[in-house]
Amino acid sequence: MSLFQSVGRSVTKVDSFDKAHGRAGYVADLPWPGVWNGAVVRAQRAHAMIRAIDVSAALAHPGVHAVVTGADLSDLFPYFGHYRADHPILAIDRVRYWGEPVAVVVADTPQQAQDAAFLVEVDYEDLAAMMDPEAATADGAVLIHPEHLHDTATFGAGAFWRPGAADTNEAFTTELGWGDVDAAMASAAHVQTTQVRYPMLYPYPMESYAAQARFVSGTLEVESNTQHPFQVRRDLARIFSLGLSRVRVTSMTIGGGYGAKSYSKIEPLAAACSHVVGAPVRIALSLEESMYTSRADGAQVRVTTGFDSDGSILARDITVLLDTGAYTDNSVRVLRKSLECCFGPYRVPALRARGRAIYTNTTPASSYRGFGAFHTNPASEANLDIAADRLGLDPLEIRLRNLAKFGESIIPDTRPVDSDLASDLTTAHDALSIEPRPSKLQGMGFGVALSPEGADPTSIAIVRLLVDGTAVLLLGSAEMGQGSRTIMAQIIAEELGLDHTDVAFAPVDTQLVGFQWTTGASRTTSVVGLSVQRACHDIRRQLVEMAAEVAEQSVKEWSWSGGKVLGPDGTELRAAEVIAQWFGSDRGEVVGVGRTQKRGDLDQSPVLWEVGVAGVVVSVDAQTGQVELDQLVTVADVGKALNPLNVEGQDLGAAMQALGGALFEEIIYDGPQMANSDLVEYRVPRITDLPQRVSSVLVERADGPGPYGAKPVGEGAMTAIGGAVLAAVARAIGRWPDRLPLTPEYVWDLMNSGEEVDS
Amino acid sequence: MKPAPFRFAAPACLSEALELTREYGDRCKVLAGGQSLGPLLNLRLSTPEVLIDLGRIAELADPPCAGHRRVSVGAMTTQYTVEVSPLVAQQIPLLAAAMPYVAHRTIRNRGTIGGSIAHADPSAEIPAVAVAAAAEFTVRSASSSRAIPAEQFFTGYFSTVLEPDEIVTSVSFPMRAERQGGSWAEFAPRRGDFGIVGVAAMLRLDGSASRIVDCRLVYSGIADRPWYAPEVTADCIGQAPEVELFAHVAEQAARACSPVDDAAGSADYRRNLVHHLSTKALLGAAASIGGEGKP
Repeated sequence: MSLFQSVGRSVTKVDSFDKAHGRAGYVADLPWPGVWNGAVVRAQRAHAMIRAIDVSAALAHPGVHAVVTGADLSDLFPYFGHYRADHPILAIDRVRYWGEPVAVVVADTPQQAQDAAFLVEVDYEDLAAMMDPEAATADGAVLIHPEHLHDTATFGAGAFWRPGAADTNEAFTTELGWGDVDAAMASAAHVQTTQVRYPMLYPYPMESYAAQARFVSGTLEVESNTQHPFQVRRDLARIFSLGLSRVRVTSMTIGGGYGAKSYSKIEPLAAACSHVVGAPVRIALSLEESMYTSRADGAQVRVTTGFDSDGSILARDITVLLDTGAYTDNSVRVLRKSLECCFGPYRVPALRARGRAIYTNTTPASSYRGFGAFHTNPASEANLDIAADRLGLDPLEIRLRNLAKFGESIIPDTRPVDSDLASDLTTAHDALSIEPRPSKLQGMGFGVALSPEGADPTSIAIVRLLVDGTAVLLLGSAEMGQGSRTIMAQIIAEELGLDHTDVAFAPVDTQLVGFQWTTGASRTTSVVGLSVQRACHDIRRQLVEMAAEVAEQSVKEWSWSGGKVLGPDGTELRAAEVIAQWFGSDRGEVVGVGRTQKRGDLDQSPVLWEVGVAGVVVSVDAQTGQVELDQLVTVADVGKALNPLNVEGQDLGAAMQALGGALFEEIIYDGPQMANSDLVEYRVPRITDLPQRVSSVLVERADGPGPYGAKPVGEGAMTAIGGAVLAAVARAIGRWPDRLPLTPEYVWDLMNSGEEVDS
Repeated sequence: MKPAPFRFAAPACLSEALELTREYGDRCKVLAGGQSLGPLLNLRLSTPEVLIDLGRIAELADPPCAGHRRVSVGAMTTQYTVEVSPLVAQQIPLLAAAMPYVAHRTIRNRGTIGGSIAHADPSAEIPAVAVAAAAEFTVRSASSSRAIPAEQFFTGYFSTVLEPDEIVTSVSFPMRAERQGGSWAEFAPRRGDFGIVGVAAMLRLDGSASRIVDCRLVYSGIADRPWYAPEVTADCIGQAPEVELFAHVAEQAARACSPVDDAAGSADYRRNLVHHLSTKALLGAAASIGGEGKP
């Protein structure tokens, strides 16, 4: 029998019926009455100076109220970006990528605005387009940010990242290391170098970006589908020089986020338009426009490892080069996390990891589920696999020899590993089997990853226990399909002895809910859940105090137990009874507040470690190079599964999403323009791409820092898939790929390359 | 995005539609299911002044029906109707074999056979099949009617001999001859995606089913229109339908083709697919003849 009443049960997601019945409130479906609609005029150049913008024809179009351009924003701080404010709300004098917003036509209807947007004429003076890091770092490269906004760097510069070298297209750099790498390499019995390129991706949430903005009595109100309403609030307050209390950001139901909706996206644009035209403005983008708004970084990762003769790692020397696009956005964190993940969850006595991000004239890159980890894990894991081959070791054995054990720190002075990684990996390995298929080349691959997650652990939760015993949660976490509301309801139900369906949720509105750092970095269950748990404990404390006060007894004689308030004489009171006794019937409530910060249990960095373990069996068609998945196994080492079905959905969902970058997906630029900015050309995995044999093994050892011993889930499998698929294909065809995705043509090319790819 | 503004006409009969095409010529577009034109309109790659929807013209939607040695199909007949037609399965095995490869089921429910032909996408299945099967298209304008052999119809990327005022009204295929078979082979990264290369194979054997008397291979995804290379199959005539022969023909085809080279597939990769798929299609065609015709 379970110790728990609500936690640990696979209850149905609390919002699934609304979503299935079309009742969930997505921002694009809920325009304010009388709101004007903006359509974005996008740059038809990758790199150019703007000589002039002729808006006259657009202004003459029926229904058009205004055409807003960068020149109209001169009374604002017209940039955003939390690491470095280098991202103009609208292009100012210069465009830095094809599709960059150059103007917004504001009209009565979206159709009028869209039609008129085609009438805006932009006169460009072309600059050489720097379409990839090679071009952008070549001699004589044209600078994308000649002004180099070093002075507006706002967060962490110097501490863990540095602006790139002046007068280059290097955007920023970071380094991580310890020990004497050169000496260790010199003494190594075997040195292995591996390079793997990870493609640029679009995270593809089904719901595109949408926002509406208005000014009401001196307060800026914005509704959008952001994952990070409080980060958007900060950007908007700076843009408009407003106090935080005068910026109200509401995050509506989100139709998938995956990091694509982190930080500010089109909220500053909608707000700036509303400011200029003096009316509420709504902007809802198409999928194609969303692909021109944000993407994931492309990465070139090179790993050199020195091993002793028994396969123990002596040192790793790693470089990570990111193609970060036109603006910084969150890629500072992408680069930093790349370094924190690039050497794997292994005991590495000496490490030298160097990261550089290069500006290019492409869509700006930012967060995507598992970033940094999925970028670097394939190179790191393939490097071990190839070395194992050379050293005559089994690929499982070389990992078991080097995996960090429970309680060891993989980075000096950081949170020790809180998982039995060797056991997790062995579980995945043992679950894999090749079932022979005629005329196919088959192979097996597996891997393990450990990612620093949790971001900043600041969370404030407010729980209102109402007089009838039901509860309302005021929380700044965004529900984006990951099931966080269900988990929070289960925690409240557990802590206050309620049914989880008796918990309701306030809108995610920055004027209503407590501060929340972000919804990301797999932090919601394990970090935010703690703050919710603490808010419930605050309510329990108050109920005990209230009961003691009514009884005119010492608070020490009263306590909380089994979902009830207990008195000294055996009295048992339900929460509702205590509230009724203290306030009088049908009135009053108890408000509990819980908070978390880098204190106590969460004082260590990283706040959380997230485990990712995956294994696959693939079949390759020798004639076409097509790769099919025969089996997929993931291991969800989550400490405690608050909702096991939800954990399985998160783990397999992440694995499936990662199949995209492993097998199908890649943003391709054909000259200055994205060649596949739609879902016909840009192929995401479909349910039919999953194999018949799929399993997610749940591991619960209650060893995490979250509530009930929980650890994060949702990104882990995403990080381990790329390397597992790469190794499986390599073993099937006898060649080691040096890039992803493993498209049929690339695999066929490899098979016919005649020589083993230099690894 | 949404289409640029256009006038919409939905005539109830063909003559009305042809009056409109005569009046507007290349300023109008004909909507025949909309599975390709719809996205082009939404992306504003096509911005007609007038859109003429043929969807309400019953006389264009005749299901496959047998006539004098030919099967004819109304141009607005959906691809799904063709796919499940017993008459097509029996009399035009090549078409029947290719239909399941045309996009996805939901698209075949709306897409039409004539729409696919008039759209003339060089990577589409139906144009290549039409050429291989020696289909003929009936084309009408307000003042004329003509029949065009499929082989002469396609002139380049999304280009045909159609005049701006002409509409394809029906498609006819010869009925299957004795000991004739057909098969389709295609490679797409995933079923339902645009194929990179497809091959229509048509094969006919002599009375004793031991010698090939006719063989045609027509490819999608190789050139700017269905690529038909009679010289590739010339060696077949009079030979026994055996695996070695098919492999030889496939090699010839791979040598003879000069495939397009683009992001969907390099010329080398397409050539490899021609090699691989030609054998597969020929074997399939031979197998579809059945009985003693089986190699």
